[in-house]
Amino acid sequence: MKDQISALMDDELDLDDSAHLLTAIKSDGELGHCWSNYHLIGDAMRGTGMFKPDFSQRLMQKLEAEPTVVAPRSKRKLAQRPVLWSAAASVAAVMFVGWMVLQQQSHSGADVATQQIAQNVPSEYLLAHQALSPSSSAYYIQPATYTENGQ
Amino acid sequence: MRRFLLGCLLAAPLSVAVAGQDKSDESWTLLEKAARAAHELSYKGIFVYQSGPNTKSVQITHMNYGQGEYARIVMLDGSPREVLSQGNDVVIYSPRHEKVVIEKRHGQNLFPALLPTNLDAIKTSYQVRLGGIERVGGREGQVVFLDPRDRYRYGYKFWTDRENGLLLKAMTTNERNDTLDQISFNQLTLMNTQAMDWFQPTVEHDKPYVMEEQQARLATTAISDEWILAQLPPGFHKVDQVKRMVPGKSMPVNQLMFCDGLASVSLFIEQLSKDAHGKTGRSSQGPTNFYSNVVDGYQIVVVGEVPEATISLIANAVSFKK
Amino acid sequence: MIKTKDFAEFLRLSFVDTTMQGYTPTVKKTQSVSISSMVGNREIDQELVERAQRGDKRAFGMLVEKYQRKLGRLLSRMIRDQAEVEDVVQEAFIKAYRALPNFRGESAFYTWLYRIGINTAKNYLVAMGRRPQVINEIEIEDAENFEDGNELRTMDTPETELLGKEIAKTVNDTVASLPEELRTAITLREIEGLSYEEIATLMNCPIGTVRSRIFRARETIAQNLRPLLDTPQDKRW
Repeated sequence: MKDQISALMDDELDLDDSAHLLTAIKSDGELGHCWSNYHLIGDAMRGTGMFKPDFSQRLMQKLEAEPTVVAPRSKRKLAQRPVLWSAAASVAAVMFVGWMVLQQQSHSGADVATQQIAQNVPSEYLLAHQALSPSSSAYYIQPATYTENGQ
Repeated sequence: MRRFLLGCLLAAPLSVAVAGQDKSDESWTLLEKAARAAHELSYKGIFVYQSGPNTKSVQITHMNYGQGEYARIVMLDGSPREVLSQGNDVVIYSPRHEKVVIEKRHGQNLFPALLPTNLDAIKTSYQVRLGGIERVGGREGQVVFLDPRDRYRYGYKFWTDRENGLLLKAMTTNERNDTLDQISFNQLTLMNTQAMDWFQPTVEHDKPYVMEEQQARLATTAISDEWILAQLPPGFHKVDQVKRMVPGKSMPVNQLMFCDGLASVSLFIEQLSKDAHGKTGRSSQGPTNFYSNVVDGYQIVVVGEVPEATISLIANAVSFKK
Repeated sequence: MIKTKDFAEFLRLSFVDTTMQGYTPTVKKTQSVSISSMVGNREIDQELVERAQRGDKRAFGMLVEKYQRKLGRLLSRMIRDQAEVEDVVQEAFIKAYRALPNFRGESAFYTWLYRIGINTAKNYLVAMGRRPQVINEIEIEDAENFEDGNELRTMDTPETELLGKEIAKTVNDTVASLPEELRTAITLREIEGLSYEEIATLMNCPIGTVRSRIFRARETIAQNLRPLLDTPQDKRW
C-alpha cells in the first residue's frame, strides 16, 4: 500500500485505482503518517523549514469547527496535457534580449569553493559538445570518450 | 581589411558595386554547390585535419546513388576508429581495451559536408568574398572567403573543386588572420562503382563488438524555471537542448547548443551539490574555446569553435532566478 | 556482449532507430512538456479538492500536509516573525477551505491557495499597522515553480528550529547514504521535479523501476525519521 501512496503523491497512479487508497490514508493511522511523512521528506530535501509538530492537529481542530462545505459537484476534467510552449516560443524565450533587467550575479565564492581547471579543455564537456555539434572538424582530434584521454 | 573592403563597395560607382554584387552571388552559389556536392556525389579520398601540433589523417568513402547517403570514415593515425553513416544516422566504432564499442550519433555534418545546404543563416552573419585559384591535393580549387560580420565568429577560407564543386580544403582563421585549424584533401577521386562492399567496419574483427552504454538524454524545450539567458550573440540560434545524466554526478546537466549556421557553441548548466567544488577557468585548443565559472551554486561551462568574445557573452548572459 | 562479424547483423545493430536527438537544421517541432513537473500534480490535487468540496474535510487535510511548509516558506518573505507566519498559514488554509465552492479547477490548486495566502498575509500586516513588503519578482504564475534556494531567513521559531534542523539533517544524511540509484531517483523527483517517465529516460530503466526506487528511498528515510517524529502529540485527527 505504501508504495502506492508514494506513486499517488507523484501523480503516477491511475486515479480510478486510488479511491480505496485515499480512504485508507484517512482512516488508518499508519498510512496517514505515510502521506504526511513522505511530503515532509520532500520538503526537507528542498530545505523549506518546519512548523511546530502539532500544526496539522491544531488546524484540523479549527476545521472541525467550521461549517462543512458542500459545493456543487464539478465534472472531473479529463487529464489533458496542454502544450504550453511552441517551439518558436521556447526559442524566443531563450533568445529574448533586454526586456528583463538582470543583475549580473557575482559568483558566490563563499558557498562553493572553486578550483582552477587544467590547461586543456576538459574532455567530458568537449565530447558532449562535439556529440551534438553540427559540423566540427575539431571532432577528429578529440579523445574517444571522457574516460580516456587522447588516442 | 574587411571594413576597408566594405567601404570600397559602398563608395564605388554603381557599375562596380553591381559587379561586386555579382561576384558575391557567384561566391554564394559556389558554396551552395559545395554543400550539395558533399551529399550528392560519390567520392573517396584521404584528408588531413591539422590544428597546431595535432594532425590526423582520415580516409573517407561517400556514396549516393539515389538510395540515400552512405559514408565510411577511417582514422588512419592512432587508434583505428571508424565512422559509418547512413543518411543522418552515424555509428562510431572505437576499439577500447578488449572490445570494440559502438556509439550512435545523429546528423553530424563532417568534412567535406561542413556547409549547410541552406545558406540563409550564414548570410546574416558572414560576408562572402571570391579569391583566386589554388591547387589542393592535385586538383584545382577556387577560393571563397567567408568573412565574419562581427567579432563573434571566426573567418573561413574555403577551396572548392573547380570541376565537381566539392570542398577540397577549409581553414578557420581568427581576427588576426592566424590559422586555427585546417582540413584538406591530399587525394580525392569520384567513384563510378556502385559496389557497397566497403561499407562495413574493418576495426579489429577478432574482438567482440559492444554497444556503448547509452548516456540517456532527455530532449526538452522547456523554459527553465531556474535560470535565464538574457541574450545570445547576433546570428546564433538555439538548435538543441537536452538534459543528461553524467556518470559521477547526481544532478542532471543541462546542455544547450547554439549555432550560427556554421559554428556552434554549447552551454552547460549544472546545479552543484552543497559540498561540491566548482571549477573556473579559461582554456583553448585550436579553434575551440572553453570557459567555466560558478554562479549562485551552479557550474556554467561554455565550449565552442568560436572566439572568446562569444563564449564570454553567453556565459555572462546566464543568471539565476531568486 | 554482442559478437558480430556479420554485415547484416551489424547493420541491424547500427542503424536501429535511436532515441538520441542530434543536430537538426530547424528548431525542434512542438513537444508537449510534462505537466507534473511544472504545476505540481494537478490530478491528485484535483481529486482531493473535489472530495473536500463534497464535504470530506480529511481530504482537505491531506492537502494541508502537502502544502503547509511550501506556503509557509513563501509567506515568510512577507512576514518576518516566524510564529506569525505559522498563524497566517493556518488562517490561509481556513480561508481556502471556506472558499472551496469558488474553486473551479481552472488553475492549479496550489496557485489558488497561494493567492489566498498572499492576501491573508497582506491583510494581516495591514491589521497590525505594518506596511506589506513589496515582492516584485514573484509572479503568480511562478508560484508553482517557486523554490528560493538560498533563502537567508527560515520559518523556524526557536522551538521548531532544533527539531527542524534535526529532521533536515536526518533526511539529507540518509539521502546521501542511499545506494546511488535510489539517491538519483529521489533527487530527480523531489529536487528536479521530473516525472517518472522523464526519470526513466534519464536513468535508462523501466518506469516500474523508477517507482520502486523512489518508494524504497522514501521508506528508508521515513524509517530513520521515526524516532524524531514519534512525539507525544498524536498526529491523528
